[in-house]
Amino acid sequence: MKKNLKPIGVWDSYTLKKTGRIMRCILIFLFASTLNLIAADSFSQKAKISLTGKSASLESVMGEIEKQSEYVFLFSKEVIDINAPIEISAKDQNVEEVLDKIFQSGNIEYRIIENKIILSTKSESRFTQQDNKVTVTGKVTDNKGEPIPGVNVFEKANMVNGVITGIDGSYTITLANPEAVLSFSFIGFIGQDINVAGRSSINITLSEEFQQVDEVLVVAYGTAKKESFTGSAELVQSEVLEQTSSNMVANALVGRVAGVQVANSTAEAGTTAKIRIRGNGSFTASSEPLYVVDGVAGAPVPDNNDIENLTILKDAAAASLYGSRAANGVIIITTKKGKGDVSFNVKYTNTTSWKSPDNFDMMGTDDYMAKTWEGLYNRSHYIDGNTKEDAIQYAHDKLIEVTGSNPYAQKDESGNYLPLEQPFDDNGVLNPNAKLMYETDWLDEAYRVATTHNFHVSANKGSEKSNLYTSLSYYDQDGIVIENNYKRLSGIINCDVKVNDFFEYGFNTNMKYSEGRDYNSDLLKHAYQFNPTITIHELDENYQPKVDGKGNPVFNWKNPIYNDYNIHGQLYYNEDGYESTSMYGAPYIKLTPFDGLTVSGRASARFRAGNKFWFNFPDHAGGVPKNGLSNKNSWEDKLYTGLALATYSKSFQSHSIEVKAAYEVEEFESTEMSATAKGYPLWETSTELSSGEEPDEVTSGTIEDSRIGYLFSMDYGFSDRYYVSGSFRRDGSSRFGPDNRWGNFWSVGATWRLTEEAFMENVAFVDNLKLRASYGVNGNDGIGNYKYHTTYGLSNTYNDRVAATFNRFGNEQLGWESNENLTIAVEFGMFNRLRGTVEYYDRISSDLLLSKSYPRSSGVSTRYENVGELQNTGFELALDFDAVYQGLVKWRTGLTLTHNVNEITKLAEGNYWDGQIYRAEGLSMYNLRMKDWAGVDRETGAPLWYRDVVDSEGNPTGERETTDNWDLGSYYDKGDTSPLLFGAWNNEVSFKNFDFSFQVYYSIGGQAYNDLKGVVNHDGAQPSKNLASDAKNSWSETNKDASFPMYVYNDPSKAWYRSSRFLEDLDYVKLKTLTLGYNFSRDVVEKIKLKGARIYVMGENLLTLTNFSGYDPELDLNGTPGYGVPPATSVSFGVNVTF
Amino acid sequence: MSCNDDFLDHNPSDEVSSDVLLDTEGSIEAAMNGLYYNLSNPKDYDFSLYQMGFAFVNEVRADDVMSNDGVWNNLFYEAYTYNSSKADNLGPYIWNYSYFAIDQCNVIINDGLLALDDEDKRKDYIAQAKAIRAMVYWDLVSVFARPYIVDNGASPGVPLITLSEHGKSNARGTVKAIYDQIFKDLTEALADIGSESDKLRVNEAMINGMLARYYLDLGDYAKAMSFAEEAVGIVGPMSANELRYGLSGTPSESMLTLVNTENAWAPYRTHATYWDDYDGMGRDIRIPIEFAEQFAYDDIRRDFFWSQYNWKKWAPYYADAYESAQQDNFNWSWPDRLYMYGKFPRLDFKCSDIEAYVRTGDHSYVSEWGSVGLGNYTYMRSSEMVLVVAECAARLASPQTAKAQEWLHKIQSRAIEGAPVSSNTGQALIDEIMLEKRKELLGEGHRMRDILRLRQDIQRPASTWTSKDFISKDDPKILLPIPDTEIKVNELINEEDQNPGYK
Repeated sequence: MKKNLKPIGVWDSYTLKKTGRIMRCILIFLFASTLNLIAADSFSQKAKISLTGKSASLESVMGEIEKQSEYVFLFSKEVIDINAPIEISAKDQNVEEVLDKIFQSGNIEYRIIENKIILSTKSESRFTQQDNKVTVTGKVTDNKGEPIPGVNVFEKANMVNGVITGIDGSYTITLANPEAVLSFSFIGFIGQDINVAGRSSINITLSEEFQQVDEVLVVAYGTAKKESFTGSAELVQSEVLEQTSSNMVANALVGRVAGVQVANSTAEAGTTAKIRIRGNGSFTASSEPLYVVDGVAGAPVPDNNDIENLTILKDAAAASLYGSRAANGVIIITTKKGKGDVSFNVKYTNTTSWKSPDNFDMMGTDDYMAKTWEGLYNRSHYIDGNTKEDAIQYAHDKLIEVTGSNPYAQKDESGNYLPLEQPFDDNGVLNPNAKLMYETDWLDEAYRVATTHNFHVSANKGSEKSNLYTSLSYYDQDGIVIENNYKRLSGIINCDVKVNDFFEYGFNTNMKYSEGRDYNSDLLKHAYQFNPTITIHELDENYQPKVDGKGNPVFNWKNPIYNDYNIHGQLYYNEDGYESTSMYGAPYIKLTPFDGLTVSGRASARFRAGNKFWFNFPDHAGGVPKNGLSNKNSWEDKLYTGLALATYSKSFQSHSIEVKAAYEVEEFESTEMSATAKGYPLWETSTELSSGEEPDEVTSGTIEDSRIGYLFSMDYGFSDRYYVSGSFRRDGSSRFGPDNRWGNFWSVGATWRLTEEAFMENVAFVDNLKLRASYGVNGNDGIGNYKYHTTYGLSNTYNDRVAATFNRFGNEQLGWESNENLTIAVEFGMFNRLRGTVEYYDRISSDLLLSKSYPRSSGVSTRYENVGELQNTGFELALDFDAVYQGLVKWRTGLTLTHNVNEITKLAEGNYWDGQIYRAEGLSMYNLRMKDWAGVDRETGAPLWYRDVVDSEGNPTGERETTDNWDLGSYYDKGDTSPLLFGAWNNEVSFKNFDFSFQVYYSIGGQAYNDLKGVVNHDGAQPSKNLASDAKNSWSETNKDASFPMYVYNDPSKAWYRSSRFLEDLDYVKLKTLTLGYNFSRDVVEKIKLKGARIYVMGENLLTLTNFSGYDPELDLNGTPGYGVPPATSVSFGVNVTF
Repeated sequence: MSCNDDFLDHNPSDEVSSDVLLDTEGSIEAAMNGLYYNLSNPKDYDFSLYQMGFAFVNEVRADDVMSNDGVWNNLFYEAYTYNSSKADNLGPYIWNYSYFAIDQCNVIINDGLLALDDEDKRKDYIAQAKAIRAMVYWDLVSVFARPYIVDNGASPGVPLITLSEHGKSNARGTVKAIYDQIFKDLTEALADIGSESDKLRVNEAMINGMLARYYLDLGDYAKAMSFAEEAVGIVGPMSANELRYGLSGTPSESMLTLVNTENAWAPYRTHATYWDDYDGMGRDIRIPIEFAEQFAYDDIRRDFFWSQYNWKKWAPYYADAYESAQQDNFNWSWPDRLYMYGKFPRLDFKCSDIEAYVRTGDHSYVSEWGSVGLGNYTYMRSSEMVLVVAECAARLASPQTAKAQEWLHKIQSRAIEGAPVSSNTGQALIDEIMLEKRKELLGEGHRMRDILRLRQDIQRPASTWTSKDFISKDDPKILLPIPDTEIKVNELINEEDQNPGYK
């Protein structure tokens, strides 16, 4: 029976084979295009160089050549005199011709390897060998075993005797003295001196210098050098993305960037973490950052493996160019490009996840039954005033009715187990002869150990003329709760072709298919509530689960909590799932009419379509009233964007200037259709809509929006010391009223590099000291569509005829939510080992959309107006330290720290409750206001709450008293769910071929309202529901100091209602990730015709230190656990092969 | 940038903008349907102005029903115990939804529906809107303001709003101002209403009925009688056989019925669900036994108090219900407070094996089982008008006793086969008529209106189980408080304008 019910998707065993074939076809196609492109490469023209006839230094000539071509020079300053004067003029000549002219005299020779020009001194010795000289050969590789071409190898005592390594990293040098010292040096690597000591073969490994010179950031509509950038932007490299088994970008950003809070609160398959950059800046509109992929906002976020790096724009100077959508910060994703020779990379990771160990302990059957007996007795004796004897009888009589089942039996004379009618004695103690025949751990039944497979295959090739990168990924995740899964098949193709100096074109494409089944929150809700005497399946007379004639389990639909509901049976018989497909393409052209000016145009189109479906079977639970209910939902959307961008940059004397101007346009349309049918007597055969007896409900809808933007920016630098920038953007959005449709956004920023000043020259230990400040305004249009229209809905009927009913009191004046963002920062570097940034920010979000009330007698209630105001103020600290940087062991360690204070500064009309959250000016958005628990009355066992003492006029006197009536308790502000400090300690260690990294995440100073504790500590108010083990410590005559009130059947005290009884501190420290990898050395992998191979093992959420008693302290931003799936512990094994 | 602005213009696909709502005949039809939707159906799925609001607020404040505490929703409990406060939901619900309905009438009336070519239709539609506006004002003012009869309408009324000006503040004005508007609207509506008689829409009979009620409130019995007779002339009373099966359908004597259909209705918000606790959703309203015992043994209306099982059992088979259920007569389900299942049964109740259900009381044994609580609410029906004629005839300065007895007999003889014509005269006759009205219209939302206009004190029977068993006609808590939400944002209504008893 079960087999027939499963949705037929592409992942069952038959179609998986088919998919395999499809995947193979796509791969072959991708590789064929790669080869095609590689062939095309040979036609691309070489750069032509023109140099004026003036006399100049070698350095400036080299700089000019680098600028005019894609070549870079590699050399050692010890060997090459870059100040040597050069006299040359050239017009439209090949690089080789120019270089020949430059180096025709003198002792410098050059070699061109790919796009690198390697300079070395001419080694006479190679041509005049003498007998007593020794020849040393060897190979220079990097930490990963990759050969390094172009390394200077020279004799330390005789600097003119030197060679450079070839493309395979090998070198041969002849030395006069077998005891000579060889010096190896290469830009970006730490140099090494090696005593030859008579050897004829010396292979060495050079380590990369940690410090990144001239870090280049991808920023809004271009790139910028970190050193001169006036805004606040953080670069995150792709290595970070490898330190999570999730393939969602957001999940990888936990603790990586100061000022960025990532709420990675669930292990539900297919979900992504929430990101808040510098706090929450809106009440009703979106607070999520804008994602921009390869220059296009709204482009699909690629698989983590396809991401080269990310830049997070945090302040106005960095983000304002995105105007109306920049208020919550911007995450710019750059995907990988092809580079180097043709290579293929295959990566596979296998992750095993399970529920993390926690402090959350539920009662077993014996404890739960005993507690229930006690509650019945207490009820009868203390509340209803009956005698002890009557109370005992009452407890005996009623026990099984309350728990719903009697799991106890006793052996009779013949050794058979017979039900034990009265399992507890008159003191509520379990009969020692009682045998527990069955017991259900509902939490155990909900969770499972789950596996995630992550395959990634890529091919790439690149040169200065063209490059191509293509990949295919398959991600298959089972959730750690039953029936929750997510699968994704995706691929990208990136291509850039430089036709000549004038014209360049390329494209990015992304294809994605995903499907899955969402987690059903009833699963954990019921798991916390169902008591252990309730069985999942019906039991036979031998207490074994019953099986029907077809071999299917027979579910138990009778329980005292939600009669006729059994989530395991529902998940088994009901259907629920989704699938979606997305296609994206973004071609561009780039023109360079003359030096310094580029004009580019980019268009993009994204098409998505998907289906959702669910079926509730007719026999039990929600499907009963309509005799089975089947829903199918299909949706599609289209997004088109266009961008025209002109950039002009020019340097002259000490000045540098860059000006950008652009026009951008975007249009979005989505449609959705949903239909439901009812009446499914033949549901085991078909759940299609057409198989239902009659239609139930049909809906459809369309949403459209569009935007236009004009933008302009200017960056000016003077003398490598002073930089100022300004930006302006004018945006129009269809989401706002006609009068307020256009908004202006701008920013100014300035940077001062103190280390470039003369007065800093003597402060040798400071490598870098930079001050920057920025201020600007950006907007938020994430408020949904059509809010300004006054409309009538057409979805209602009266007497089965369509009725136009007033829907919304629109506001023609509705406009942007705006953010004023001030940032002041210091960036520093010391001792070549320590780098850091300290930032202060003040973010004022104003014109926030809130409902404003109008007299109801005028026929309306509220409408949205731009009235609210929020402020986020904070400090960010990021430190990066090369703790060990010489020798075989390298250890780089970093710390991020964020302190953010959120305050509501203006509301529409005073205070209000937004559900359980109390909003008032002066409070945080994450304020926790509730009744204040005052413990248990020692004498009566009643719960107590605090209340304000009031005078005769009803004003609080400032005194507090206690009450045993929840309704009379006063409300108090008891804390804030947002932490005072959070961040992470990040570490990377390498030793020979091993690499080791780990992250320790911390969060200090937040509070959580542990609502689940309330559910499972009901004190008898919900007597058929299970209890936490803590509930054992409840008040009794012999336990008057108990922390929990008297346990009473159908407890009326409301002790389990929302109060500070379940409020907890949320301080925690977590070993968030730990990765150990091994890179096979080149020698080994080459033997099996590979270019590289790496294996690694990674653990996530391995250890948590906290006093929080919930299942995991990593909660959603509201600081309330709820019935979601907590973060999981997982271990991954991965292998990564390049060939 | 004008071309840009076109690019940025988008309209929602499933809504119609307010400025083009009344531009086509089709959307005018939809807007007219909307007016009735507003009266009947819960806009936000939590309240229905007529099925719940006015129907029950005018019963629980009086003496013929009792409201339970804390069973399903406590909406009416505070009004029942005369313990209303500004924190209650009931007052704001009635106020807000009334003005919402009035505003939508104002939109239609002020627009003039010039897009309609058919002049008769145009007039008819506007007449409907005016009559609905009058009806809502007539009910609204009775909840928040003192009866007209007290001081000829000089007391503070409710804001009189006849233009659709969203966001505007309006002062309370007087009761008289409201009554003047009611009269004006009804008179104009009567002149323009079409001749087609549709029980689901405002019709000539209903407008006459409203005018009869209007003159009753003013104490003008001659005029009230004349309009009531006019109404009965258009729609006469139904038969005894029809009455037996309850009022949840559209009775033939209906003058205005508000319907609900499955597709338009949120479950459990109908008038019927409040009387029926089959799924634990009802139970809010019951009848004290003292009043139930006023019904004679052979009064067919007494059968409305049968146990729910009997009504459930036969609900799907109305044709057989009466005879079969009679065998279980007087199996009353509670000793002193009675559920009244039969008068407002759920129309959509289904149960595949009612025998098993009756036997076990456990519906989980029954495979097909359910109801979303469908049932229409009849706002006005001919029997009321018959009794108004009787009352007016008896109350006239020179009473027409024979006429009063004759019209009373129309109702009495329908309920009890072979009932004799009353021989009472004077006050005794009036009392008999008023008692008959209570019995006939029990649960339909009329009792409190009569108490208010007649300036009577309320004495409740013992089994209503409330300490508030006597209410003086001057008790300030008879009125509900003006909602705080209104006072807070309406610049012309302040705390001083609050009803006495809530300041």
